[in-house]
Amino acid sequence: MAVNHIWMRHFGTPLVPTVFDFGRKGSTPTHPALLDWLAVDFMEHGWDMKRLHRLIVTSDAYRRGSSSAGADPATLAADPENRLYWRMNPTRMEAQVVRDSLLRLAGVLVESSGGPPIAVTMEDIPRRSLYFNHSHNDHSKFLTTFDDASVLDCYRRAESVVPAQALALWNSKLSMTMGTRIAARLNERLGIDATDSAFAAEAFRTILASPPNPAELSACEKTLAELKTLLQKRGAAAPDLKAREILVQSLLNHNDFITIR
Amino acid sequence: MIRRNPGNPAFSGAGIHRRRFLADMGMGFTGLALGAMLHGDGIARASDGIWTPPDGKPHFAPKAKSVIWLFMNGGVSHMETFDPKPELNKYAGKSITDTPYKGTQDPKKLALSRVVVVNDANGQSRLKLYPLQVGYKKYGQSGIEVSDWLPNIGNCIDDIAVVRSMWTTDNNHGAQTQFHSGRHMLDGEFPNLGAWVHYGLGTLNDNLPQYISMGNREYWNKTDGHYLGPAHDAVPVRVDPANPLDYGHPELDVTDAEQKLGFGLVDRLNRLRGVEYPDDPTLAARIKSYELAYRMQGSIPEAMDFRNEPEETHRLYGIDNPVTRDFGSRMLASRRLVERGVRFIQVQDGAGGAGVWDAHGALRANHSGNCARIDRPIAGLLQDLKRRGLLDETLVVFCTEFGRTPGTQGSDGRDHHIYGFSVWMAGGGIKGGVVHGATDDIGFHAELDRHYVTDIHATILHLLGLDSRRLEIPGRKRLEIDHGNPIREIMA
Repeated sequence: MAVNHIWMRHFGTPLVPTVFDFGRKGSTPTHPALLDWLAVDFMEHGWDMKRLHRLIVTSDAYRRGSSSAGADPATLAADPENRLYWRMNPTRMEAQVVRDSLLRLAGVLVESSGGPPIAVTMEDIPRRSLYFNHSHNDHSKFLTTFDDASVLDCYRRAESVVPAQALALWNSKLSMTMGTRIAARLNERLGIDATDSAFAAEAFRTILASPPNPAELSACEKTLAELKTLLQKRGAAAPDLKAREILVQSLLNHNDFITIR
Repeated sequence: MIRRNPGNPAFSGAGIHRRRFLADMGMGFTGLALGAMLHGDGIARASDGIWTPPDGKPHFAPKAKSVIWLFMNGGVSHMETFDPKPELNKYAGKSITDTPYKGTQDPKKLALSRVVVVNDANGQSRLKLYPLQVGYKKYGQSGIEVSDWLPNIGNCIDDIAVVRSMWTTDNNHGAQTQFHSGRHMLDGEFPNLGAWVHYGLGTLNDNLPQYISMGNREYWNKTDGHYLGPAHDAVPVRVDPANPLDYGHPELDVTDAEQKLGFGLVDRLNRLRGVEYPDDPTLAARIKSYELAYRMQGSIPEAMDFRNEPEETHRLYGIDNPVTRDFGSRMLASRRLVERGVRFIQVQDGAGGAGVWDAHGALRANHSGNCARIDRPIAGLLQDLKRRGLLDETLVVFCTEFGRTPGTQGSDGRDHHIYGFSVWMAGGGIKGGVVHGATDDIGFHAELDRHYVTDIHATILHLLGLDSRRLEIPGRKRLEIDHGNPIREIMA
């Protein structure tokens, strides 16, 4: 049971699909020998969870990429759903990680531990999201949108893909405020003379944790130019800065901002 | 208000190189549904390989396309609405045990109740019979008796099938959850009917969410999808064109044109990622969900904007009258959503406390007032759907968690009553002007053709062309009673 949970949190899929039920109604393990081996190893080493985490994250299976581009067609045909872990599963960030990432990138996240819980109505308090009240009646609207934990059980978070998530990342005061701050930080770091191209590349790298390829960079540059034209036309104050803020906001809405590959 | 162009050129789909990714995106709604499902339940993908998620098509020819689910929170008295019992007047003030109906108190029959709170102040036996608080008369060609508090719905009775023989088991308001999910609250949390429908059927309109809820629900759990996943939760909307959705428009300054460029960039960048991750269903689903999100910002406010509806329609729904305006607006919004292609609309009437219909005291004032709020709007909805030819493909369901006791609580109220109560259905595939099932002559027990709440679910699913057994997920075994049986007697 413990090994199954830890495995699931690293790989995104459990070894026994019914994480909530190891009984007769549950399903059988997908990799019984692996589960057995890990469980025995875990027990023989004094139920040392840290050791189990290390064993998993240093494994060859864990360090594989999640891309299937260029994969052997035979592999793709035989196991399109990656039941055999021939590649990594991309997973969605948990709700708390989404919010904390926004605050962290903006440089405002308070990382100290301890202290009183935060009322769900006080979303502006830049503490880590795990400090929000969480009960049957108290849900943070933002966290709920990203499949916050169930109050009744902690077996497995859902990873939904719903339009409300797009609206929360585009329209919420939290996301927009953090987007503005992230842009300001980038400008500060790069200096005022930085070109749009340099800004776009750095914003991409900072928010998505990988450099843009030429097609991605040119898409960003093109949108930046279009935004500037639009902003100048409506006489917006500081159109260059504003265009960069909207670029940052767009990158926060990129699938890979909330995805761990 | 933000207005958006639904034919948005920002999503031109440029940048797709890989054939596989193109195929995934070409699946239309399944792009969203499939991704959400694969990741929503997690159990399915690792099971034995035989099971596949629903393809969004009905299992057999449907009679109805959409459902408008009207739920009256608190418990509507069946005797003062759709199941009048003159015997209550005859024996008013007498204890049931002193009347010919003392057999209703047979402990075996009363064992149906599954108590949550022992010695709860409510949900008790009330033996002293309370007379009908309102008169009734026969309506329509069918001559079905309806309360004098509901004259307008009465006039629609020839389109309605009344089921007078419902029963449930939770004698407190957890029965609200039970009516939606089919399970007593002590069993845990389960997907509700709307979530099953959303899970089983594809979209009618790419611009609108397919499962929408209006009105607050306070007494039952907040989510709909449960183990089907949050992708199958209803999207809550408010009948307020300026602010109908959570995060429905930017909370800080950005114009529509600017945001549209941003959405376009996100779309392009996500599609470029598809080159490297051609087999990632979540990425495909996210691209789809962003398209819907962008369109919803315009389509939902548009559906909630009644300015172009004629005066006559406003009057038909009672929007011109302060008493009926609120519920009437939700009914008109429901029609507009059905018309635009929304699959399941869940309307909750009167949350707050245990629900506004919960008349433990002053039943006459409570129910006459509540009936006045909903009578004109619901009749207006039925008439409007009918004259637009929408009633044939839209199921309208009127339901509540339980009925109220034939005996009195205090001097002028009725308590919760699980042993017999009424609901009705109209529209797509339903026979009009029929009464199905019956309670005994004091309205205590459902006696003839008894139905548990899941029989209503089964009837609706059947009319939508779905077989609930084929929707079942490995590892989430459902019981016979969860599936229920369609009530064939009320089907056209």
